[in-house]
Amino acid sequence: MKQQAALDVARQLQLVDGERFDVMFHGLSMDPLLFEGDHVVVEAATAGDVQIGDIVVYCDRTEFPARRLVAVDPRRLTLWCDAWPDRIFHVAPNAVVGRAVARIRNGHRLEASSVEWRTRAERAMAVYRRQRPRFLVRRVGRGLRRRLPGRSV
Amino acid sequence: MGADIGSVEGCYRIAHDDVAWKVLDDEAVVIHSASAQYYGLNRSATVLWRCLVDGASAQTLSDILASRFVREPELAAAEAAEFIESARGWSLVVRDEAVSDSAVLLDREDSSAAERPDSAAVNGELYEPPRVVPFGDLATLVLSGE
Repeated sequence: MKQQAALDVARQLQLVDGERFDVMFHGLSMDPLLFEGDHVVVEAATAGDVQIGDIVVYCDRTEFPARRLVAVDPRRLTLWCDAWPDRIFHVAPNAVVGRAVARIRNGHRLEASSVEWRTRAERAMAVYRRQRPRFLVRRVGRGLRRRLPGRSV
Repeated sequence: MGADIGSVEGCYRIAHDDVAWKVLDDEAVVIHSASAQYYGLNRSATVLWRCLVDGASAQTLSDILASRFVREPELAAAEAAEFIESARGWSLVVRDEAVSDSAVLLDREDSSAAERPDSAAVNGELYEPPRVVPFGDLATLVLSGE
């Protein structure tokens, strides 16, 4: 087996074995639930296992983004970042590798089943639902632009 | 060959508490949590590795190599011993006397598959002795949130 292929497999094993391996969050996109330097415990999951509101981890080439699942259809999952309400991300179902089940910050562990985690998820979903009409308008606009050749936008 | 079967007496099993693994295209990738190292197992090593899930002796592994890969018994014994020494050296397998070797083989659903001659070996395709290849260090994994 080539080293890069082995590394990809090893990283996925490492990712979903969060109790034994350090998995760290980098960035601000899921603030305040996940913040730069938080340790995240990830559980292996497929697209069929995850639910709306979960923080889903997926494979994007050599990176593993973690974002909130806001919509599912058979062809793709729609993900969103709590701190970036203007952007959505589409992911193929087979890219899903796991979901965040806990966060460890300053030695304190917050479980995904906790009231705090679920309250944050509900708040984030409420914000997403308010934003959704804008995403739909954008999508319709893109569709119209494709059907009107020669019109530059 | 640096090992003989007498040097690895007893039964061995995967160090389940410290190891996670996955097979891709008949070759296993193994990660070791304490050292954060990852390893590749070639095809014949992966066959032996699967037998070590519940535990097996070096003699059993040797028999499997001989039957599955059509190896001379002496060669198979030396290769099995070397594989165990190397995997033990990386702390991927541990000696476990609580494991009953014969029971393991009888109970394993795929024991017949493990003993069936490998089609590549029968066809005279290239055989590689079982090897554990250390690939390197796994850095802390980062979930990107940018």
